[in-house]
Amino acid sequence: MGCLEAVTFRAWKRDNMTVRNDSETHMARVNVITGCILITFCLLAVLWLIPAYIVVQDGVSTAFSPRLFPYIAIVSLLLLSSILVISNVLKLRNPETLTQEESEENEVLGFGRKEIVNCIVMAIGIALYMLLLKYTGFVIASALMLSVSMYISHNRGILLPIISIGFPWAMKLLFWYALEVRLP
Amino acid sequence: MIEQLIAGFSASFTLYNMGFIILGIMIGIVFGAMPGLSSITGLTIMIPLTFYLSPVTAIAFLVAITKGGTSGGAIPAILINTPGSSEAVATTRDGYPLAQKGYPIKALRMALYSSVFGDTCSDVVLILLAAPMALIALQFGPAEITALIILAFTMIAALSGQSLVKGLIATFLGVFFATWGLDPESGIPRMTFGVIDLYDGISLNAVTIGVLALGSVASQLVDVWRNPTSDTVSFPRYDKSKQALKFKEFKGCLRTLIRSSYIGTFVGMLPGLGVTLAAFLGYASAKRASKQPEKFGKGALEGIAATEAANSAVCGANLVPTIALGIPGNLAAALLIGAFMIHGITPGPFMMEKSGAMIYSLFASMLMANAVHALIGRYGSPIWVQVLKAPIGIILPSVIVLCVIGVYLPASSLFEVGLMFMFMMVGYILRKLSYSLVSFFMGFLLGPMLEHSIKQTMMLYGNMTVLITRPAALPFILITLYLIWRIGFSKKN
Repeated sequence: MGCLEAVTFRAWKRDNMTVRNDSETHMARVNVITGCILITFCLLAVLWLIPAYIVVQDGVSTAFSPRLFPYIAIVSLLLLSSILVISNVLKLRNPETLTQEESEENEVLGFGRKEIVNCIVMAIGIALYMLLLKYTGFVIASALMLSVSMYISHNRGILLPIISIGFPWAMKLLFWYALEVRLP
Repeated sequence: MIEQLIAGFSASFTLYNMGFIILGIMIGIVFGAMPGLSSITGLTIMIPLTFYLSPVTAIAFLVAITKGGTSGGAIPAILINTPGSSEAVATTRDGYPLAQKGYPIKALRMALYSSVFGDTCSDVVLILLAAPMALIALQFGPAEITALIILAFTMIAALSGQSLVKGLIATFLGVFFATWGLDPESGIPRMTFGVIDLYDGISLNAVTIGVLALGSVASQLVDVWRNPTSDTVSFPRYDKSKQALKFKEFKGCLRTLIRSSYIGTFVGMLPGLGVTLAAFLGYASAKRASKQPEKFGKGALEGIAATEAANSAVCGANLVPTIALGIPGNLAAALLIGAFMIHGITPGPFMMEKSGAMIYSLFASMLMANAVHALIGRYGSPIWVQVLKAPIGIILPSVIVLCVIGVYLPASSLFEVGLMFMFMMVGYILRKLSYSLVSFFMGFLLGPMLEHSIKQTMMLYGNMTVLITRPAALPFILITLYLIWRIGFSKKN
């Protein structure tokens, strides 16, 4: 019995360690990729964004260039991103040093295909909502946004039409009569 | 000080002010207790709405939300073993077992009174320390301020996330976004891309609401969409006649309450340490000091008292560095700095000098809010408990609508709404990549102050070596280096 328990425990530990190591390796890889993206962004900012969009005009004399502080921020970011990439590459070469990253809610974090799809869906949703806000106004745009959001979050009962139409309408009236503020 | 406090009471003890304090406490409890939301979300959404209030009423209303939020988070922790906020995690250890034994209301009352006790102790420390600390801070020159901000950035980056490097990356990303807009010295546009709406810089409201409130809402909405759950909330059954919390029982926890209040106050005064740490330290020290440590984890009233007093004591204490130095102790204090700015008040040592009367009115409002909190929490408990049953799939989309209104109101600009959604994406990505949102926000908030102090240092002393040659700046730099060595180079990282 003791032997069986030991074997079961070893199997459980091995499985658990494999899952843990997988997510740790994944996070280290993600850190390397995000570090590289940040380095690219910093180089772009140093070489193009800051010189092109902070134009030092002739005749304006200042003690410090307006580019000074953005350069300090972006060079610090560049150095830190480089440290992130190097440290995670070293971690991947030496897997014993890998540590699991968790949020405060103990959710194991990471960024994969699912998150990329989520970002794209959100971006499309935001773009549509902004267009509707501009061309149809707050009530119609918010009613549509609410009904879609409630539908995808599995609230498909009678509350869906009531809340999605009633809530934005009530807010519009409340702000108009209480604060005399017209919503878009 | 006593005279100023009495004057503060007479200025703030109005029906109008009281009404907003009551509303703030109620909103705080509801947001703290509601699944998927927190008092930070409530605070973030409500800041723009205070635009129409007087500064004292506005700040008192926002402080009341944070106070209500601390005890609100304990409600789901005790009743359904699901903490409403991370600081209430420790409360589940004894709160939930006590509720399961048939004493849920007693556990809720202990949590509420402990919370109010810790809060009051912390407010008293704030009132006693704010003015002397501001006097010390007035002696600081730009070199000391620069060193202090660098220390605050490092501490927050080191302690709020799991990696110092990632925390600092988030901070400098925030600092970089803070440089957008007109250069404060020459008025030359910096990365405005020809958009006039960006001349005043990226709106604080858009960043705050986008990153802190909407980022979290979007993340949860996606989770609900991907992983539908049909969990229905059920409460433990109890005998109404056995729920009273006797004075003797409360008195029995007095030592624990005082100890936890001290711990929470100390933790609150140091930037970045956070409420959760205070709660766990309070719990651990209470267990160590108890004559019956074996009762902890099985529904001990002392356990609830220890965690709730400690996490609430952070609330007032984190305003000590905010008021004295202009550097927030945690996220809630950082949001309050934003609110001060909206109302034209610059946080920092000069605040006591320039707006002393307002600050003492705020202190008086905080003490009044504690009394209101005890009453509303006690008599409104049947309502707060029902909040737990609110369906998350309806709440989250409704919060998005409130966020849109919150950002649109102050400037009446759709551009800011778009900016808010852009920062929602930034918040979502940072959150998923495990970058500290607190660090990002602190970088954005304190970036202009850092730029100003660096430029002043360079103008006064010609170079930055004064950071290590001036005796008042050197300790801050040494602590920063120690933190980098201790946390940045530790094996775990």
